[in-house]
Amino acid sequence: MLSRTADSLFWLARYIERAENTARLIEMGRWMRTTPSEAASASPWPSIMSAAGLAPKEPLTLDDQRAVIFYLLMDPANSSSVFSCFEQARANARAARAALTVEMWEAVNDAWIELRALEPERLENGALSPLLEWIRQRGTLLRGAADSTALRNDGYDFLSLGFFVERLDNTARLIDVKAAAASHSASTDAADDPTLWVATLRAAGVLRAYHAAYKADYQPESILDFLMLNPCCPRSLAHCADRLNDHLHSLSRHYDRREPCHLAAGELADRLKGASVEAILEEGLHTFLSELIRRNNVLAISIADAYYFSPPPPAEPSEIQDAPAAVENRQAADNIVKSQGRAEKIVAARLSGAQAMQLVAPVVAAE
Amino acid sequence: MFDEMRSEGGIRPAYAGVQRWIDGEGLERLRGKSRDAEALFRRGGITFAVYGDGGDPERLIPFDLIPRVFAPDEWAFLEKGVVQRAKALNAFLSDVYGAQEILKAGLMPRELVLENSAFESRLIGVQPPGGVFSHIVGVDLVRLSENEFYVLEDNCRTPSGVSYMMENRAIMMRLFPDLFEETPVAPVENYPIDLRRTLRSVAPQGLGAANGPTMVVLTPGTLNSAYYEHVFLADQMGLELVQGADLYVDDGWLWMRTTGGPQRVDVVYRRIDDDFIDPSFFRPDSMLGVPGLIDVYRAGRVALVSAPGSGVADDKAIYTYVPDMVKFYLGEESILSNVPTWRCAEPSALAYVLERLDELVVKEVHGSGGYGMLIGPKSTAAEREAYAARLKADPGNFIAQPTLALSSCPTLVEDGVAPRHVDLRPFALVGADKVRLTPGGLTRVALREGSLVVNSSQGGGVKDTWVLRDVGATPVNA
Repeated sequence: MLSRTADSLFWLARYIERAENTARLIEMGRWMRTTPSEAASASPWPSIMSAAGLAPKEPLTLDDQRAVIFYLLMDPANSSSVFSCFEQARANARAARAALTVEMWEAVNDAWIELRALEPERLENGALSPLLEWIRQRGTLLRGAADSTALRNDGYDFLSLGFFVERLDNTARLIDVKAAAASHSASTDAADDPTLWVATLRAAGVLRAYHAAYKADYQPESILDFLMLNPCCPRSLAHCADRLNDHLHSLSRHYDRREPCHLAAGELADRLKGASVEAILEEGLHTFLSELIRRNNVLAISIADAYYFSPPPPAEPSEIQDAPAAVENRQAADNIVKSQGRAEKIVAARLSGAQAMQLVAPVVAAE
Repeated sequence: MFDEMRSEGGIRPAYAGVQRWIDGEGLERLRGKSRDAEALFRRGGITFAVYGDGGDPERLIPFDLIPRVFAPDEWAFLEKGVVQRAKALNAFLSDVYGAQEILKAGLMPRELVLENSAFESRLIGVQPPGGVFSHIVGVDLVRLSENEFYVLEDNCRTPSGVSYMMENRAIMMRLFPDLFEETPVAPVENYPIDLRRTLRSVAPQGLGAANGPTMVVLTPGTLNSAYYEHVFLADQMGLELVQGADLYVDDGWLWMRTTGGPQRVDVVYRRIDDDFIDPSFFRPDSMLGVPGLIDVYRAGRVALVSAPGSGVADDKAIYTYVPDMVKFYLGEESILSNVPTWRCAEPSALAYVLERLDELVVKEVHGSGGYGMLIGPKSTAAEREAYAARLKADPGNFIAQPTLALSSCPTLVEDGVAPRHVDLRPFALVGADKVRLTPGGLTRVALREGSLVVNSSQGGGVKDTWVLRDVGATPVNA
């Protein structure tokens, strides 16, 4: 298939998944605000913003919930806002339209048409929950349309890779909000406050699934195990890593060749399989999550490189140097993946996953 | 003015079913369905951009529910005429890029061809794969009376609008399934299959891979006004929709970048104008094309649909000679008539035209889309004065035609169902093996009362175009 089409499918999925996760993050922030708890006494928005990988522009006051929500949902100046995500998802869908089924195209196009015509009242606090639910459903609709109508070919694999690269990133960021909120709190008990954990599970949309799997026992270790290491949980890091491996395996059969991205994905999955919650907590949760986000981003880069994504405009050396900022700045991370497909510029992706890690994403020093 | 539905004796037989349907639905229901249709177009992203300031980049073309109908015998006549014309235009192109017999015979002024801006003298001596230059010929027709059809212009490069022919039908069938059960309308859905066959027929011989030649649709990109159509056709034919940056020339062949590595390309249905298709041959500032593509074409290693330089055949000054071409190449009389045309390059014609600017339609020879023309009867004195100045400055750039009383069809407008002027663009497919014509076409309608401008870029709308199947099956009110 055309490399550009594969690129569009990959990003279409990423943007739709990202919009859904932004809606989940906002839900989590609102819930933290409205639920009296010691740990959540400070404003949740700084940690929500950093989980979204956003460094807000100056005028935005993080105490102003309305402003933050507008920035996350509807601000065209924020390239990761739901508005921008839907716009870019649709632009990618339009560019790859011949590779989409009618049902898939309509799921994306309808979402954009409706969001673009959104009445300001729907951003009012009382109306926000239905809106956030609607946003989450757009992701469900596209995945459902793909599931029931898309050809199971390489295009389906590229689309799925987009979903799971993004979801892994987002789940890691979501857990990081909890970790950050706990570390911001003066109280040492805050880290064990179940309220925040429930909020995290709720935001991930797997609260009931957790009940079923762990009998509603809110042990932080169990919750972390569920969200990170349990492959049965569809939003867990381990599940995403497994699916990434599946789809890359399918591509290696389709094209009859293995690439550095296969190695990177294998290493990512192994890292999760070999981990235990105790060891992760020992190492530091934030450090572990940062490493995962970086590994995941390197994987995205090596996928783009292996399948010649995007016509190759010359990469600026500065983009390569900026790579370590990827965790903090999502736009920069996106740009690095998008400027891929030019192996000679970023040698990293040609190297093994481990070598690439060192070059593109040195492990951040523990804070 | 000729009303295609109503004659003095009542409703014409071909429209009997349509009239029954209009009466049966009633205005309110039709308006509701009209809104449904608009929502379907919007949802499908079936749009057409209007260039210029403030134009919506994804505007909907207004769709009128009431179909335009041709009786079987009317269509049989048009089909013969369109096929004949498509053959003659291709024979002309093959000749002017070959032996130039028509110029040697003195049938048209040499400079009209050789100095024409659409003529590419560097390609003289290059015959395209399969011998076809213009593979999709859109012939714009207007009707003046029962038996009077005129060709308004030919489109030999990349005529657009065929997706509307198909989408209009699909939406009508979705909204009014009963209507099609009652009336035997010839299907238009085979167009993409025929187009694919046409493309395949011109693939360079013996070059295709084991599983057939690789064919692609080349689009300028998502911002192009007809992008939807490019997607639609690629999708319907099962071909990749590529942009210039997806293709490159290496070692004398054309390649596309795929996830599996480079893949050779044999046929390019390009929806990019000549000027932009190869920056190393035409406009060096074009970012849309593929450097070196023309060299691959010249070596006979890729078929370009249409071939570069085909535009000389649909030039508005060349147009006046098409009936002569038909006679010269095919030895036949032209079945379709041209609109009487004054070539302003000729001094006597220029004088005549300047005298009668208030009654004529004056067009630029290379213009399209209804831009830059003067419609005398609708113009102000000031507009005529300004136009006369342009005309005198460069007479060879203009032609003039009488203002035609275009036929009208019933159309759903604010006041109810009222006649509005229409034209017709059928699409002839010229392959190396045969010429194919889908029974139907794009009917454009001028939605403003009295207006004669049907161009989509000027606020025209479209209608579903029906060709009824054989007479025996036509429902006729006794």
